[in-house]
Amino acid sequence: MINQAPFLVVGIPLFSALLMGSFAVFFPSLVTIIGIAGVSLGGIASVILFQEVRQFGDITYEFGNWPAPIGIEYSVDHLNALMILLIYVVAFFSYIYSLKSVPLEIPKFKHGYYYTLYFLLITGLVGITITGDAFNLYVLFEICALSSYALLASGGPRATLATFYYLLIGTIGACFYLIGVAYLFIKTGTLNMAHLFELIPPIYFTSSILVAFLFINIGLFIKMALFPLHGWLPNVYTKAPISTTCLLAPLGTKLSIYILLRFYFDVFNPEYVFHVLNIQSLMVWLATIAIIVGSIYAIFHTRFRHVLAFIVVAEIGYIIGGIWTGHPDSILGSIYHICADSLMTLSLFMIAGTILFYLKSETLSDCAHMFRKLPVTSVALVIVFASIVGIPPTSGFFSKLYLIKGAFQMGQYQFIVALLFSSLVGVFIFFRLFETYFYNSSPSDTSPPTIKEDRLFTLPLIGVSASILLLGLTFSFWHQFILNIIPVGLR
Amino acid sequence: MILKLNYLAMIILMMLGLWAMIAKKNIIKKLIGMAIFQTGIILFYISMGAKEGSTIPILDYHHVHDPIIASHYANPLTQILMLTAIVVGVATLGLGLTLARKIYSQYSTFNEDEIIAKLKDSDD
Repeated sequence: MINQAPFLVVGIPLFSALLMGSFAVFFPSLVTIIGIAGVSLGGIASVILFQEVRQFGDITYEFGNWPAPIGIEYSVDHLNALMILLIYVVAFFSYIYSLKSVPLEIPKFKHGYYYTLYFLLITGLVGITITGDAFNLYVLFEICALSSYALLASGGPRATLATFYYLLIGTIGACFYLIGVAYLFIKTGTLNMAHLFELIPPIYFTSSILVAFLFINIGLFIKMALFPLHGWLPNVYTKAPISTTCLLAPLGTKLSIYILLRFYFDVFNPEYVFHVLNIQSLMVWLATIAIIVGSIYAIFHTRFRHVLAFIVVAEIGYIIGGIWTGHPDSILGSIYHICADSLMTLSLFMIAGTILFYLKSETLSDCAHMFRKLPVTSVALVIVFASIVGIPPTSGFFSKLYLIKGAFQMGQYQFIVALLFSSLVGVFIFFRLFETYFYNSSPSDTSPPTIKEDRLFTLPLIGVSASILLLGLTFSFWHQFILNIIPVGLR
Repeated sequence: MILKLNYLAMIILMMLGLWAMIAKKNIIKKLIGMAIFQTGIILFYISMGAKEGSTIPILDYHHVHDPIIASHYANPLTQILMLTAIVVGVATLGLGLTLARKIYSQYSTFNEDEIIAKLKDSDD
């Protein structure tokens, strides 16, 4: 059973999706039960996988017993195991949240289909992390993208148009990735990542490898919404249903970053990426601009979800900048920040949802009322903003500390300035909420002081807030774990 | 100089598709552009697996005892990969058309400018 775990983490959500799809018409009440079972069983499998990898190192799983270069293999190393665990933690909390939010947003007869797509999205996300084959990755990338388009478009008239543009842009991104893979295939004749890793070093200086590198990078930059290519993200995340964004906003962009890391470390050599290419400082500058522009946009928006969308854009800059400084400390900070930021984004979008459902408004001045009306949500907001700003016990502090440490040693001072600037912006946004409430609230407001939030809203919110704190408190454990991910050449 | 016509055709197709996706105002034309763009990539893969004077990669029964010469057969791997990519492309196009139909039922037009104008009207 345990040696099947690499298959089970993908297989369980896939088969739950199929079951849900077939039960959706005649037994709609079974759908949510299958969902709970699926997400919990998958979560257990991911924990088992994580433990296995932590104790015994890398695992490979060959489909149909066909060995690697010919057959397709799933390979699990420390980076995969971490990402799969992260996906299941986020999926678990956002699924519980969706049990209450989906009935508020989606017509009843569509629930079964909605959850089918929801689980196909989880399948795609886990599949991307676990596959060891570059073309298989493209297919899973598209499974993920197609189900996310459908999930995003279910949010009413505005969402349809935004999703349509996202579909066009996302297809361009995925196709660019495919072209890049084609160049690698022409040059090496293989699609297996481990095999590519062995074959690429002798041909570093051919233009095909350079073109492959550029196409794969640009394709993934589009998908992850790195600054000049971020245009689609705010539009989509602000109009889609909350239930979808809770799952997609934390994971969708981070998974593209995961693929990028996988390609830098295990397909192209880190030596190629950081020493042969010599574009390091250019990329750090790009990330710096991404952080600053994202933060400035976040200041000037007045609707809560717009602010969140630009915070996401800025956080992508953190991670990309950290990777490209090329120092082991900042790479560690980046990988840790992938986890921390996923939890933070999840928490923020859950808060946005609770505000939207109870206060029926999104403008920051109306959101400020939550400090009186929604007690649990307000506590969660304080914790998540503490993490965004980087106050010590939270996870955001440690990722920022290590990003700055690495950047300082590599002399990338502009990146440090951008990180500190975005911390300040976090403080600014939080206090804008705080100030509006405490100084501008009219005393004559007669509405009841507190609203009892639904348990299905508060439980996942408490869970995520606890995870943010826990991730920070157990930093030494994650530090040890992530050190295994950083390639030997860079340590 | 050997002019590689297949790669030239692929580049022209891709650029056509990309241009249609960006410049055309009609959302159906954008989707057609997307389909052309994907077809360009499929052609690229297929043409890199093709060899001059080769045949389809299926072994005849009387070849069982003969040595198999790889250059006599087209590379089957690229063709199989593109079979998958075609399925993905069809699914994307289908979803895109569904969205286009939904947009049409909401705004009763396919023109991007008119849709944005109607969106602005509804904001005021």
